[in-house]
Amino acid sequence: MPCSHAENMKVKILQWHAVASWTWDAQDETCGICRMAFDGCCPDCKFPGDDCPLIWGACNHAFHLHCILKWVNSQTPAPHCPMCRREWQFKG
Amino acid sequence: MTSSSGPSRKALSKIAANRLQKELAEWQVNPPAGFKHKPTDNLQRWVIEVLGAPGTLYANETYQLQVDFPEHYPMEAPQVIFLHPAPLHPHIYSNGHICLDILYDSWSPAMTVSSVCISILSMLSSSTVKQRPADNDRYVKNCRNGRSPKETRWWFHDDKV
Amino acid sequence: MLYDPDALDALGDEAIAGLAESWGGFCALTDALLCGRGDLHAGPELVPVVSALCARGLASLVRDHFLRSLEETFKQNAVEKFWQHFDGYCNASELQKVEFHDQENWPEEVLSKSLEETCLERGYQEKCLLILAHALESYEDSISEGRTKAKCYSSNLISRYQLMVSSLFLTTLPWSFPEVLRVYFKKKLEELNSMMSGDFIRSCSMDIDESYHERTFSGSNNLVKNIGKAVSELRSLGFTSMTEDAYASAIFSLLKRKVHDLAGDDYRNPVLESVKKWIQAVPLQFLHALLSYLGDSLDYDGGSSGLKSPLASQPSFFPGIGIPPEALVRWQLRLEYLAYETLQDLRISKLFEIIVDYPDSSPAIEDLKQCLEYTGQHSKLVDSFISSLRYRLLTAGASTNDILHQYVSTIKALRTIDPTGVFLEAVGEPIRDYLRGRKDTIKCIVTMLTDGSGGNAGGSGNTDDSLLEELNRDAENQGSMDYEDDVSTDEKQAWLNAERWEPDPVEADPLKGSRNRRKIDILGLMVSIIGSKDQLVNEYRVMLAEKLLNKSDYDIDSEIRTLELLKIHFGESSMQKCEIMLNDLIDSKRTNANIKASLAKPSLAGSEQEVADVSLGLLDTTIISANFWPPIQEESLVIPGSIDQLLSDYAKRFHEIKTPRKLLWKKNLGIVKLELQFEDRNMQFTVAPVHAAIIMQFQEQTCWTSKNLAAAIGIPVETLNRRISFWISKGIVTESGGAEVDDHIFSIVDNVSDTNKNSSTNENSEGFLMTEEEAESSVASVEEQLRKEMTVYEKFILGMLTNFGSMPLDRIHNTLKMFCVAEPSYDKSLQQLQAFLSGLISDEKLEMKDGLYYLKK
Repeated sequence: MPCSHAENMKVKILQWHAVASWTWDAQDETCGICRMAFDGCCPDCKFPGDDCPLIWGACNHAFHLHCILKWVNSQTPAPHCPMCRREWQFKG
Repeated sequence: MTSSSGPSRKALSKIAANRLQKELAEWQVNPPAGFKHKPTDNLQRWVIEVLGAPGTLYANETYQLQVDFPEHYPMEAPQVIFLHPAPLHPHIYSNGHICLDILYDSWSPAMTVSSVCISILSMLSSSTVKQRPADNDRYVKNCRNGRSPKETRWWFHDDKV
Repeated sequence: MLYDPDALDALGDEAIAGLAESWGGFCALTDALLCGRGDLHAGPELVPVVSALCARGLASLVRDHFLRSLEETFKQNAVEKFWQHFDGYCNASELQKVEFHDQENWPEEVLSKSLEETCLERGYQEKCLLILAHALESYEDSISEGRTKAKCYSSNLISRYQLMVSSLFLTTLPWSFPEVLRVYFKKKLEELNSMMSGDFIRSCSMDIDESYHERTFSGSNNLVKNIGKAVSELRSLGFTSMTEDAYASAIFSLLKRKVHDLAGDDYRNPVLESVKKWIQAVPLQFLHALLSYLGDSLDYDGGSSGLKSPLASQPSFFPGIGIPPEALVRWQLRLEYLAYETLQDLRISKLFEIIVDYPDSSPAIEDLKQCLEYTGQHSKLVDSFISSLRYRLLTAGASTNDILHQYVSTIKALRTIDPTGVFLEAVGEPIRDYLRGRKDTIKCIVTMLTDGSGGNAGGSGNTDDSLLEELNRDAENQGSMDYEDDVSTDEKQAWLNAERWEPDPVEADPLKGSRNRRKIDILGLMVSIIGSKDQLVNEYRVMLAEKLLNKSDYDIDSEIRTLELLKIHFGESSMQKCEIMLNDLIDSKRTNANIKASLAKPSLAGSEQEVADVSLGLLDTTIISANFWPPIQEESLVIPGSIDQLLSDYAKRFHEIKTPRKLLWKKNLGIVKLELQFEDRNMQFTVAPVHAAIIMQFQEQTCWTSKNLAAAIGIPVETLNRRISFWISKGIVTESGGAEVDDHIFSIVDNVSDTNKNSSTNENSEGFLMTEEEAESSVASVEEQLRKEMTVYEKFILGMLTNFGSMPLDRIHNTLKMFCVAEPSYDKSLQQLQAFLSGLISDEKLEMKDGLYYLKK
């Protein structure tokens, strides 16, 4: 059968329901402190994402906010990054 | 220095239990070379068999590490000691206490049992002489009433050994 | 013949001659009397002869001779004649006997005739006997002044006579005579029953016609009188217990038939009460009339009787009788027991059908419960029901759904009968065992739990509720009742005693005796089929994911309600992932709205030149937290450029709003609603993105080879060939040529109306939905997941086998259980492990010999 351009059929999209997953734009997959996936949540949280955000240090290491806060608050006098031992500072 | 209490045995927090389960699972899939976890139903105390690395002073010798986890692990370091008999090593006391900075001041929550084990094995492997620390007798006497090594204020020996 | 030889020796010849003469006279008189056919003239002459003989001490000889003569005569005149009446029947073959049974007046006619004759003869003989007794008495009177012993003669002789009569009959009894009696009573009782049951039904319907009542009453009175006469005549001939047996067995068989008639195959009405009423109305009335007629000891002091049965203490209702005599109460107990047992057996034999019909059949279940409480024959029910389950339900022909629905009905029905659940455990075990062997069991259970069809398939009432909601409502209703009181310990013990199986499986222990257990947790029983709630939860999660990703019209509120119910039963932490999935859906809606609102302005201002056929307005996105969803099937797919552009705009905006989070598209997933516009008409479809991508390619070019089309949309040729069949089946695309998968040619059907005339889709917007088979799964099935999950243990298993050389299945299982305690702890069943190991064998990693697994060398 020859391929012709006999009749023109047009497709009109009425609705496109797409599916996506979200992910944190981070180097690692898991939090170095709780060892849970970044895209999951820390052991204290019920829902991932907005409820359990990530935070980056000046050294570019990321942790669950709740995890690093626990570590930082337990360290006197000056907290350091659990990954690289540099002094911990939140990335501005 | 004179406190006599053992390590605090408060039950693991949810975070600690969660993380230890993950560590154990990882260990089972991918155990560090030269170590064997002795299965117990106690998540809070692990007993690990260490096999001296080939080609080192401790080749073909096995020792046992006992790892106790505090309530707030990994915000606090685990207590790691050798069970009797402890290997002869300039940084290991005859009561099993280990002089290693990451177990105390230099602990970081990013470390794991596995990484601690590897550090200890590398400490053993790099030893050139089988002997006790110079202050062994004095230290052991001080610890006689069951004090935890975590209550010692350590000053760390040179890193060469 | 000589009873007192010494006395005779002492006699002189003359005396002997006198004696012989007296004896001769006595014998002659006896013969004359007995054969006299009603002629009693010889009577008075007997007195002197008897006196003479008695004076010689021959009284006993006189009595014996007389009785022997009676016996001889009776044998000839009565017994033989009597049996002759029944010869025809007794010598008949079984088949001929049936003909006798069918004759209307048989055996009534012949029986009453023969009884009458015989009793006439007997009555005459008794008179003769009384004449002898009189003669003996007058001798006694003449020799002794005191009349102390005198009366003994007649009663003594009569009782000897009676004994003789009955032994004559019983020693000559043909073996089928009892049958004659049974048939007689059966026929008479049926007659009575039809007479009474008209009355019975009338009085039940509260419409009593007085005159009718009178008539039936007198009619039945006559009938009972006739029967009573026969019974008393039979008794007088010595057939007392045979008669009783015969009418008892006739009553019993009538009762059984009555129960069958009343109960039959109707399970929707209670019958026990009607049966009891009938017992009062027919057999007990009959027995009462009979016993009264016979003048038996109807002792009325029922109250003082030591034998007080629970039923006797109930105010029994005997119309027109008052307090029932004890014999009647005993009859009532016997009959009621038989009724209970008959109904019970009948219901047990049909229990399978009854349960299929549940809950409409609950009256039958209630009846059965009462019967069992009375008879205590629970084990009968268990055995019979299990065997009918095996035969009817647990077969390859029954669908898993049917089995599950029957199981749920069984649970519901049986907890009525046995609130302790002991029975259910025994009956449920074969069902559960069987279901464990079916692959689709979990899926069916989850569907049944969460879908609207509920536990009662096609049943009445609330069909919109899921089984889960029903269970929950049950739990709430039951919560207010006190279960400890509801089931008495005795009752429970009775159950335990009645049954033979092991009381409780070990796994049921934790809940044993608790209130939960008492409630007979249907959900728990469902879970126990599967083995662990985790598996059920996992299957639910997969189904939920499938639904959320592939249906645009799901009802999220009802899903949330289902989830809440599942949380109640399985605990919050088990359901956390599902909760996050639903939360994702809610969040997605919010994010959609935000992004659309924020992008609306620039697009309006900036790109007005673009034809508005694809705008952000038609894009919706479900954004999932992938870690908590079941593994998603990802396939590459090149979607049309305009849509792709929309997606990247959307993703960019998302990244701006939610930084540092970003979106990863699953382009093969989702739902597309589109309209195909032809010259003469438009058609709407709801399809998967891959279908949309395929059909959109035909806008540019009406004809494609499979190879080129597959390349254009970035999917393997095999996938294309499979997926394009959707459009072929709709008559939009045709396929031609090409033996190779690569060179099929697909072309758009230019004149759709020709091929599609029969379908009613004209210009209107009737949407075509994909059917189940066409929609490919977007989520990995539980089996695939299992394989994935088990891979974690593969290394461990290989390690074990390296250490130990070889191991049997259960040892591998136990070792895994012991060692793999951490997350993910080893929670697989033996069957799951076995399936996985078989996979490793086919992967040639393992081999198995004599039940032992080895590493493949």
